[in-house]
Amino acid sequence: MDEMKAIAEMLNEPPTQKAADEGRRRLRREIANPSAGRRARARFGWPFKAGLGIVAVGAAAAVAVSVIGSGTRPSESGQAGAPQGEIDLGRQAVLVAAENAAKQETGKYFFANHVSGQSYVVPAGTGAYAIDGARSATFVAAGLEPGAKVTYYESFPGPRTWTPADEAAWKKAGSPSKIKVWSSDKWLTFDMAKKAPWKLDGVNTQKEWLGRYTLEELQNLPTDPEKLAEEAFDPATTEAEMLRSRGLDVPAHLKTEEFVAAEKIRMVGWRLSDLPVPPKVRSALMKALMAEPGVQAVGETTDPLGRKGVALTSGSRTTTVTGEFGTPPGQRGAYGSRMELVFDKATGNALAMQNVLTKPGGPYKDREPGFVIDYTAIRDMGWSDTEPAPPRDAS
Amino acid sequence: MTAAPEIDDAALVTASRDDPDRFTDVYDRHFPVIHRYVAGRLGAQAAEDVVAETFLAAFRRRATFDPAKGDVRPWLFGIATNLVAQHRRAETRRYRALARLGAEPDAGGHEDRVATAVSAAGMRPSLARALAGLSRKERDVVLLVALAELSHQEIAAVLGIPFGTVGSRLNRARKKLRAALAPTQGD
Repeated sequence: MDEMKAIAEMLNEPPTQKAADEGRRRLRREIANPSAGRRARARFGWPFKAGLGIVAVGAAAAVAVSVIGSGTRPSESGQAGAPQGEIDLGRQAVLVAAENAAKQETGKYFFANHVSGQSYVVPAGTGAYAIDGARSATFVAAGLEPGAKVTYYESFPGPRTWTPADEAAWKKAGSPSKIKVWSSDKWLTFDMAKKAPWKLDGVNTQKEWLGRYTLEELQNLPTDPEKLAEEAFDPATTEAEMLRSRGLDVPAHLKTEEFVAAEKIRMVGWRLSDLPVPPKVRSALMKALMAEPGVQAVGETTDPLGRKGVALTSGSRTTTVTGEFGTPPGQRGAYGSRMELVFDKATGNALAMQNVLTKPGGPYKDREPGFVIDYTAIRDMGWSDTEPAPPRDAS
Repeated sequence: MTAAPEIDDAALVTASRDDPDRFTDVYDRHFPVIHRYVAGRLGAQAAEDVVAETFLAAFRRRATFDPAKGDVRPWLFGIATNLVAQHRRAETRRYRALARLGAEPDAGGHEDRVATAVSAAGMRPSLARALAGLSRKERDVVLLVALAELSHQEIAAVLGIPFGTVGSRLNRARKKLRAALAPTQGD
């Protein structure tokens, strides 16, 4: 008996269509939006799933009061997109942030400190509560001199409850330290007591960090929003075009204005949060995004870390959770959400990319609009002349 | 309508440097074999992520692919083997689980099928246990032969070891496997 043949037979695991499709989808996402660095990539690709929100109350309030406007090119006139001669306060606020973004100082190093999380609603006899779980943080410190190294650190801050109300409900449920939640297609157990400090994750080259760009190319990106839009929103890099170019059918939902706008928000989000894009280009990227169809400006919102900001958002999309992958019946159903890119008005820095609940339903049926389903938040980002390192206190 | 001439694997990877979309074709060409290798070692569930990561890593490193050093397939198997190495415990767990199946029929459709297929040859539990008992280096060589069906030359390139070492590791591993399968072993 040939033992090699017997081994092959014993270990045979026929590939499923799901595995093939999922891998291809991840690859396409990477091609469309190459993010930075090895580990960082898996994590920074702005989340497609959902997370809970922060200060869900604040965010909900903000959604209710925000002034929404979609725009024409801001370079034409500050008020060009305002409906019926009204001043579009959302657009004005984002423009202020964009102007401020252009004024930043640069330096010999670039650093970014990100944290990502995903929301889970935990059912309990005493009342459901939401936790921010599966959190992971990355700190990247990149030398910008030719050939300088790029150092990655990572940490797993552990889960937390979202709002004071969630915290109270968790305590009412007996402050469980182990929390079991349904995640897409499996059960996960989070340990509320678990925290992990920063640790060195590895060193990459600048090339690995930057993906499709070189430092020089980044320096030379156009500062005119319209020219920049051509580069940043190259149709060939969209999910729909990638399917089309391979002769495949493009599902209708990939062609909707909401999907395309969310895709552009992710493209800009990646450039603004991971890359040492020059300040004037950052400003232009914000203006370019604001001028895209389906992108709306929000004058006031709150990010997953509780920070106030202004935002650019896509229209709302509906996601339907079925029982196909074993989701418990209580969590099935449809909900609406939109993709927001939040900025600090004073500095123009990107604060967070967040998928925000607009229409409660399915797993989020008892949450309010504004609840953050998933996010990547930029805790800190910028340039320095000395080698940056992760903060010592928080992980 | 003229059909595009078939482009070879290496040229496709090279073309993807300037035209990243083409890497999707690299994926479609090689997914089945990479999946077979990774899922064989780690099981279907863990494989889903590791296979995807293999192609993501390859995509990011596509500029470093050097056709002069070997073909695309061994290059991908090299990346996959490095990623599999990060899941050593999952791999061992899988072999142990397979070894247990003969003694006590388990729930689970697929594993049952495997049990039937291999215990028909009357050797599955011992074979799985023997695999679990191999050193990592021996296992890499054995599975690159059994699942990836690579030549010794290709395996030498994948693992970065001399050609002769592939043969000697394989011989050593074969001896252990055969000893485990000897009829007197019973099981």
